[in-house]
Amino acid sequence: MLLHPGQVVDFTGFLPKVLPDLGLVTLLTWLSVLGLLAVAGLAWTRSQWLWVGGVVVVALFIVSTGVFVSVIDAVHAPLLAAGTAYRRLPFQNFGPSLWSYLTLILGCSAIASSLGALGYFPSFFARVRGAVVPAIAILLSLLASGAIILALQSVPGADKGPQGFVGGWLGKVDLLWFSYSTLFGPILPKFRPTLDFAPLWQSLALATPLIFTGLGLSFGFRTGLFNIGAAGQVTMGGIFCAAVGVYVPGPWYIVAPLAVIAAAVGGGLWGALPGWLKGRFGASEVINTIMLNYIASGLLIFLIGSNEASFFGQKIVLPFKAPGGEAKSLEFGAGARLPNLTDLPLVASGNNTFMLTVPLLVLGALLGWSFAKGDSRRRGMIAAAGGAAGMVVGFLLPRLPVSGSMATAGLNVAFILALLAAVFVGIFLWRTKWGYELRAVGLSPKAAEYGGVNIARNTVLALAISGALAGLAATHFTMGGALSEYRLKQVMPSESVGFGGITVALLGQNTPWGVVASSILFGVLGTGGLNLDQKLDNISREIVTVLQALIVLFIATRGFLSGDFLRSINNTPIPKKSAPSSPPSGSDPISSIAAPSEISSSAKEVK
Amino acid sequence: MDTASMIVLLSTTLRSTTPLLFAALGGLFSERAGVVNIALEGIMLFGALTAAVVAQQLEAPFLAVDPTADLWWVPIVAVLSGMLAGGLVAWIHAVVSIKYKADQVISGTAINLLAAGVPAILLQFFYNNTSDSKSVINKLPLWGIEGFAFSPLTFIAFILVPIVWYTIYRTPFGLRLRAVGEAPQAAASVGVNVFRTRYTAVILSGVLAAMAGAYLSIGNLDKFNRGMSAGQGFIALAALIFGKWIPINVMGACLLFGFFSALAIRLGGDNILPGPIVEMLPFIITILVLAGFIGRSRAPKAIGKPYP
Repeated sequence: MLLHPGQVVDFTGFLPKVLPDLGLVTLLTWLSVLGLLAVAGLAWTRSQWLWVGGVVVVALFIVSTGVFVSVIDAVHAPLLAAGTAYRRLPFQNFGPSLWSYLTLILGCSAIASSLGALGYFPSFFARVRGAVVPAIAILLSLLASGAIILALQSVPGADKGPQGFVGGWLGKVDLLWFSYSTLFGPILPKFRPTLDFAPLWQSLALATPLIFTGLGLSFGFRTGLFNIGAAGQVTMGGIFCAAVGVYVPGPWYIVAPLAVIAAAVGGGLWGALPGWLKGRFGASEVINTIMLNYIASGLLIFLIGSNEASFFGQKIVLPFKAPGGEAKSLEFGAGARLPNLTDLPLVASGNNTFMLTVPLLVLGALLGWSFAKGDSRRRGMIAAAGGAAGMVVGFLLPRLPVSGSMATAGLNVAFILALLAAVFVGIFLWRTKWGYELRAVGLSPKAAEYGGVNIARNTVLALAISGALAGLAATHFTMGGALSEYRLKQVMPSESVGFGGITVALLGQNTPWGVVASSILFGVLGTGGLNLDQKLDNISREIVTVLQALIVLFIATRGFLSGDFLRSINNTPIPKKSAPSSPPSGSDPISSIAAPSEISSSAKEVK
Repeated sequence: MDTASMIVLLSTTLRSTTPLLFAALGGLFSERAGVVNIALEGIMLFGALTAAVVAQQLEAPFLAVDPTADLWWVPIVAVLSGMLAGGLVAWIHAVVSIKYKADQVISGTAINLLAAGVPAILLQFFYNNTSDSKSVINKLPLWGIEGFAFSPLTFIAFILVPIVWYTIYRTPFGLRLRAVGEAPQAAASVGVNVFRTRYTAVILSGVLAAMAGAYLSIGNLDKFNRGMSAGQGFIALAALIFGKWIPINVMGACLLFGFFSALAIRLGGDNILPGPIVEMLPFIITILVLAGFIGRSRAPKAIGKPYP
């Protein structure tokens, strides 16, 4: 569309016999291009036209996508009727082209800029200012990883496709487009042959441990502490959790909560130790938590690496390890297992249908919270009522059919625990006295101390809670059976989860919902990376790790934005809407932008 | 313990000390200039990867012609290109933490994350797997007598100790370096270019850490492996703290930690202490040192603070 308008570009060498008739789609896309040009021309004189034009172009995009899908279906229908297997259909993976998405983006930006012209822009910008640096970091790192993909991966079938300079670039753009759409693909469910959310479930499962570690890290950052020890805390959480899960018998309502608490205690102790060392002796928590990572992984190998160990000639039998060559613990008791989300009542009935109860519950609660007036208790009650109403409606609505892959995705109750942990962090940090003290320490330790805050005690508390949150990530791997067995295994990816937590915390600007959102983003990228790995020869799924590293790097440089710009958007007052409820929340956005430089600021207070 | 096993223990100690010493001396430059270099671990991996891949790619066409060709220059070029790569990666750390004044620990963490991802991608490109490179035939030679021979890099590492000491304490550059790490404003007021000194120090530290990596991949082993640094960059950092940022003490700390890992290898078959427990010792000792239980160590004053 961009370079070869209205033509078929073939890189595979296997052109299907029946080509879909895309004339109408092309026409519609051209129409939207014309619409955009018209908008540009008219907007020169009257800015209201931007608004109208943007809406028209977006509507055209939606119509053309619908037409596109129906055209493809028209090609497929006779084949399906003739009994062709679904996976042999010629256009199994299809999507609108880059060009039509470009019109969508331009249309949306036309609407956005018209809103800007009408004066909504500064307020909008001020409200999302926390997201400016992360968004730019994501964009920059996507660009950089695009360059990596182009450098390493030749265009598949380039010799059969169009040649020459234009053809070469056509192939490259196509490759990039394919890579990005594969990476972000898991956000959308598959619609054919049946509705299938499997990639999304898998993404959420990958996101679960990241939410825990990200929350833990951001908790530390808020207090000015850099807890690099999330990996060790996950490991210790796993060890403690497994001790309960393997040895404590009993019904699930006693053992499962105990095991979850044990995971938190294990991680919490492993966080409190460097906290105590810092509070009592002033030892840097950065180095200590790194050291504790290695000690924890040594402990894990000691416990589940072999069945017996010898101290000074004395043989000791280690009962924890399962017999056999693989380094894993004994199996968890039936009571200490977290069910898959699909096995819960009120979420799914059977394996192939999905109820709308939970999504509507969340929607109802959110609507109730945001539209209710009055103090927070009243709003909470209305939100609860909205949630309950959503649940009832979801129960009455017809079930959605989904394909059977839902149960295997590994999405279990730990995900709910992660969301609850996010709520806990939000309430603890912004609604309690202890949270207020912790944030005060994070913003300015000297001032907080002068205000009567006990720095040493708060350091221990902060790192203990931070560690406990990270330790909870182990519940996903052990009790949730995410490693395909209900055991503690050495292959538990505590290191990648621990370091992923740093990225997620920074990307989420140390806010609970930011952490949840960016964890889900990385869950999606992780799933998409696996798909990309399978589809391109020269690209491995570690491209997602590189993406993470680049994001951290770009956030550290604050997206190369100048300090003046960041200060100016930070100092724009948020117009109307709820006045700051407490003094610290008014200063929060500043601290969140400046977070990377505030860390370990206790060492930085010179004067 | 008889003489033979003593000699084995000694040579294993020296072998496991070498990478620690390179990385710790590198860290010494950077931290003395006031820049925390937590990225040593990642830079080691970059150095190891570059050395192994360059050596393998260089020798491949020659070995295809004559499988017994004497290519003495291959490991030298490989080590040099590893050093170049390490310097480049350290330069990224320097730009982010010096020019953009980012938190140095975050910047270092980003480099370590890069080192977890980039090798896999390059290995996939060159060798179509994500964990190992192909074996290098022309690895670094061994110098010494039978049973007690070491890679040239081992000798270089120990020779570097007095050189680094001299540079830090007896040259104008060393004086500026220490001044910049202790009191950058004061140094700037007498005309020292704080930025340039810090850049030089960080890049130097990357070059040295990359030599540690090159030693691991084409000195100790004959190929690159993704998990090969195994926390040695962090142990080097620990040795740096334990050695109080003084070259000769740092060497002592590295020897001690090297001895522990030699002991862990040795005790793996014995039954005095389980191997995983012995391997924890360097980390436990570092924690004790940091807390001041075994001699207090004082960091350069301006460490971790971006210079405005």
